[in-house]
Amino acid sequence: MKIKFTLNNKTIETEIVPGQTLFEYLRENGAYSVKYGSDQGESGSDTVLINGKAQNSSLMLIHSVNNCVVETIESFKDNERLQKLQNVFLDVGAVQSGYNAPAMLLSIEALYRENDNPTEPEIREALSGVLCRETGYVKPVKGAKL
Amino acid sequence: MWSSIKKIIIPASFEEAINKKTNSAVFYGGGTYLVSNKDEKIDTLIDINSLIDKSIKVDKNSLTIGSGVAVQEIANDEEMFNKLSMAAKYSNFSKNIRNQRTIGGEIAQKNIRSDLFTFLVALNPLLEIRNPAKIMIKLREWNGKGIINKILISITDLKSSGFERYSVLESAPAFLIVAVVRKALELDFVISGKADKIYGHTMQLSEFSKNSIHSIIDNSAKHFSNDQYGSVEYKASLIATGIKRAVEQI
Repeated sequence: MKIKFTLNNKTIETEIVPGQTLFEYLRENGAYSVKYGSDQGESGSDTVLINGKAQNSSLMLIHSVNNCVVETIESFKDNERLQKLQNVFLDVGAVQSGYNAPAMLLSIEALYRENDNPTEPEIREALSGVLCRETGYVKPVKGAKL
Repeated sequence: MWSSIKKIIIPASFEEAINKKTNSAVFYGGGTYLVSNKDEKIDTLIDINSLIDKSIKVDKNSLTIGSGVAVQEIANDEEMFNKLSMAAKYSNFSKNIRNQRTIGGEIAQKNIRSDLFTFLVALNPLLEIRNPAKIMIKLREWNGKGIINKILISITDLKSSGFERYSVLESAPAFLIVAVVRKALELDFVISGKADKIYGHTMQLSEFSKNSIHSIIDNSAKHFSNDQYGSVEYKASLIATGIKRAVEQI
C-alpha cells in the first residue's frame, strides 16, 4: 500500500508496511524527538501534530496519515513561538531530562493554534495527554503562559 | 508493530466494507482501542474513515452526530453537547487520545468504563447502521453488526439527564458512573464503571418509590467487587448518592 503525506514540510510518498505504527515510522526516519512511552497511550511522550492536533503516534497506524500533515518538533527550528516557548521552558526550569519536553511543547503549540490567549485550565487540559512526573506540571504550566 | 496485520482495505462503499468483513478482519475508525490491544487474531483492517459521517447537525428536536466525530470535538463544546460534553471529557484523561477517538468507536467498543459510553447507553439514541442498507435502531438493541454511521440524540432526553462519576482523582478513570434520563413516562438508570457489567433499569414514573430505588441500588451494586476502591456496601452508598445527585440535575 502506498501513501502520501507531509512530514515536517516535506512531501513523502512511500510504500508502507501494514500494521506499522506512525511512531515506528518516524523513529526509523530520523524524527528522534518522538519518544517511546507506552503502547497504550498513557505517557504521551510519542506526541506529534496531525493536521494541527496533538495525537499519540504509538496509537496510530502509518496508513492513517495518508493525505495528512504530520509535524514533529524537528520542523520547528525556525518557528518563533516555539523558540520562545523553549526559552521560557528553560528559564522557569520546566525541563529536567527533556524526555517529554518535545511532547509538551507540541501540545502547547497545538493549543496556541486554537486559542492565542489560553487560560490555565486550558493549558492543563492541553498537557493532559503527556504524563510526566519529572517537573510536576507546575513549571510547564508556568512556561506555557506566553 | 501490529505484526499480525497483513492487509489494509480502504473500501469505496459500505457494501464493499461489509462484504470484506470476516472473523479475522475488523472495521478500523479512530483505531486507539484496536492498536493498543493489537489482537494477533486480526490480520485485516477495513479502514472505514472515508465512509463514515463526520458532521454534526442540530435541529429543534435532535442532535445528529456523525460516528467519525472525534470525542474531543464533543468535549470541547459544552454549549452544544450539554452533559454529553462532560461525559466525553471524562471518558479519557488525555486530550491527545480524545483527538483520536471517535464517538462511533466508543459505542462499537462497548467500553463500560467509558463515561461517554455509559451516558450514551442511558440516552439510548437512535443509531444509523449501514449493513450495508440503512437501518435505524436504538443503541441498546444494536447487536454490534454493521457500521455505525450516525447517532441521533433527542435534545429533550439530553436536557432531562443527570450524570455523576466517582474516581480517585478528577483525571482518573471513574470506578463508578451513574447516568439517569427522565423520559415522558419513565426514568432510565444506567450504572457502570469498574464493574463486571453495565447495569441498566427502566422504571415507570408511576412506580417511582423508595423501595424501587433501593432495588436498583442493590441489583447494580452486586456487579462491583471488593477492591482498593472500597467494599460493595461502600459502592452501594455511592450509587445511592449518585442517583440522588443525578436526579437533582434533571
